[in-house]
Amino acid sequence: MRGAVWWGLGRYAERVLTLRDVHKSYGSTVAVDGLSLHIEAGEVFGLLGPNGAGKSTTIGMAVGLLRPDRGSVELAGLGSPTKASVRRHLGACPQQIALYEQFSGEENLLFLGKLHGLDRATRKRRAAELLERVGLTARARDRVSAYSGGMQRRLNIAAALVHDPQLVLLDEPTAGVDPHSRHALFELVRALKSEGRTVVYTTHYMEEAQRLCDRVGVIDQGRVLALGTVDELIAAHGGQSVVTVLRDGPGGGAEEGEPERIETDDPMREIARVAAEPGAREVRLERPDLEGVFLHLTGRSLRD
Amino acid sequence: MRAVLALALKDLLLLRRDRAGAFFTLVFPVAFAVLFGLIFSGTTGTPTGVRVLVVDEDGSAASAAFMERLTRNESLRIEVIGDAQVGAGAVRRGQRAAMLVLPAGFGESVSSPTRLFGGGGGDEGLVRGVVDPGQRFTTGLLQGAVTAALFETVSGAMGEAEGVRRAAADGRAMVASAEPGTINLPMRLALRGVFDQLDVMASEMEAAHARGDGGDAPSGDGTGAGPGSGFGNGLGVRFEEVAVARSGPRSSFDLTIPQGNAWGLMACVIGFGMSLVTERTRGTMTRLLVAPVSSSQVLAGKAVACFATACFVQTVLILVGVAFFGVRVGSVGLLAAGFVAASFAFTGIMMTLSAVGRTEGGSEGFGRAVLLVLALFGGGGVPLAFMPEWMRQVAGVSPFKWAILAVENAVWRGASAAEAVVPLVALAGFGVAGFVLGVWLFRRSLRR
Repeated sequence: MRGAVWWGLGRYAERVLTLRDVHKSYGSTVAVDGLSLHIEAGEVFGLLGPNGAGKSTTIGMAVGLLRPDRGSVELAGLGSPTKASVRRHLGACPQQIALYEQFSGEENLLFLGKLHGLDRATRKRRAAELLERVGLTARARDRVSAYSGGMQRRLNIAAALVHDPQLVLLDEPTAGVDPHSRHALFELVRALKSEGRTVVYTTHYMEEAQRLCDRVGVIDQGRVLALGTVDELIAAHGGQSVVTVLRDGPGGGAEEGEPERIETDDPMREIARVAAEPGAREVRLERPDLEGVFLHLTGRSLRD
Repeated sequence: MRAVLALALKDLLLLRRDRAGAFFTLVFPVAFAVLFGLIFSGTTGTPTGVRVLVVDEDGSAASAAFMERLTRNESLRIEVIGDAQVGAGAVRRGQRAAMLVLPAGFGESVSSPTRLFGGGGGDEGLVRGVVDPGQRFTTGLLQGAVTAALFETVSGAMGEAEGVRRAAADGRAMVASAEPGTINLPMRLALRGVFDQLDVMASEMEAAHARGDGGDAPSGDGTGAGPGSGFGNGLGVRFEEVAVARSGPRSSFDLTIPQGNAWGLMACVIGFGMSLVTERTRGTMTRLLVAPVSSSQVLAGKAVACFATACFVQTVLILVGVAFFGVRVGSVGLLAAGFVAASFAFTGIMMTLSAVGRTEGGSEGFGRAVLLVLALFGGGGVPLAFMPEWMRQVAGVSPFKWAILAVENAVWRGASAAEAVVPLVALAGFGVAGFVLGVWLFRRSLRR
């Protein structure tokens, strides 16, 4: 099936998923307001925005759970994901832990495999592979209710992969997990990318987007504010780097003992210059990041 | 279809893992039916045994003594009534196992050998009995009990020496006055020997009484009228069978088993309805809906699981009733149709209920409130027959009434085909309405 999906998607375009001018409202509340973007084959695409920005609604439309009020969503070459046959080609991991707690980890995966039409042997093989992959082989027969939060998160992602999809959508997969599980999830996303899968990853943690994503869409109030690689976004919206210099004596325009802040587009050259001057005791570099990008674009912090 | 079955199996497995849910769905209805069946049948305390009506048309000391002796028999539950016709009606309706009538002259018969041995009871017998032919074992039990009581009564009547002498004198007078040729010589000699023996026995009783050791009733050897002789063959009681009209329940379990079904159906509705709400609140519905299955398939899976469980619960209950509590199924076909119709109806109701509430607490509270009222109005608590007329009229809006009626029709009501169709059609109507409304509400909730 993996091959079929790959060929099916690859034959038509490098754009695996396209959302065109989609709108979605809940009563008078506008959740998504004319959002357009495309996801390219093999990339990890991050949808970055604060809580309530419209990320989950966008994912909901992308996986066919929600119908847009206006606009269109298309899985390349296959049509709208509101059709059950189209959804067969994507794997979605909801933000909420969506598992049957009375079932074991293995039973959850076997049931979902059955729902995706996998035969018995394939189901068992995939379940074993995925449990191994997320480090739950030893707890495979335990009920999910006995798992820790981090283990449930890992299984939640494994459940999205049981049918070996080429496009995987992860909605805030690290919400509320411990650092160990978070690291394991990062490794899993990297592994998915290395296997050539396309990953859409929503988060409100700019560090995650910066570490994992090839491209990032910054979203707020249901609209995409900026789209590009991390470097492109920072270059365009992050502002200048700041070199902070602490000297032994007065110099550089600052009072004695006070740090000097230098904003620059070429921090390395500035650091070399400062280092060549006498009296520089400490030099610090603050590069712009996606937090700065969001602040620049909205005037608010991501965590507001 | 594979996806629907996978979803249904998943729900059945979840029910099995949920101990509280399984208890209320499978165990509670059986416990309800058994407990209330026992309470209403009175078998949790004394007296126990076959329920027998007795009509005392004689009103003599002997008849009172006979009834008192009959009451001592622990196999019988004796109820004295005044009207034989009313009693026969109760037997005919299956409300009582048998009736005994002590006709006028019963007392004289038991104290007179002439009437006792000479056919004084005639073809009527000393005691007349009316029995339900469906309970033939009762006839044997009753015959033995009546014979024993009669023997004791006759013995008691002749228990005093004076009575024995009077019986011997009556006997001699009967033989003497008999028309020539009616009693041959050997018989006359034999009877004379019997009467002489009675005189001897009376003398022995007087002597024993004088010694202070009693003077009780003579043994059977002395009279030739022991249980092994004439009475033992049922000489004194003649039974007739009446055709029992099955217009009433045979036992309280005929009522409580269908009621237990209703509670089982209610547990199914609440259990599966809540599971659908839980799927939404816990996020597993999202997981299902991003899989390659439609919302209709998700609903169908839930409906199949609910329907199968409802059929299973009802089948278990009736099997328990048949195996342990004497419930007899009049029509297996009608019973199966009733189960299917009731399961369909309550599956439809489950669909609506699950789509109404947005939270588990809200849905469960609403569901229990509505279903409890419907169950009580529909005869799930107090049988409809015991309700005021206006409540019986209102009960038509309750699917529980029709579910109970459908089972009762198959078990004891002996309904005609036309009568049996009514609850089935009503249940089908509830089912269709529930499905349509439930699917509409569910899809509307997904669009939100």
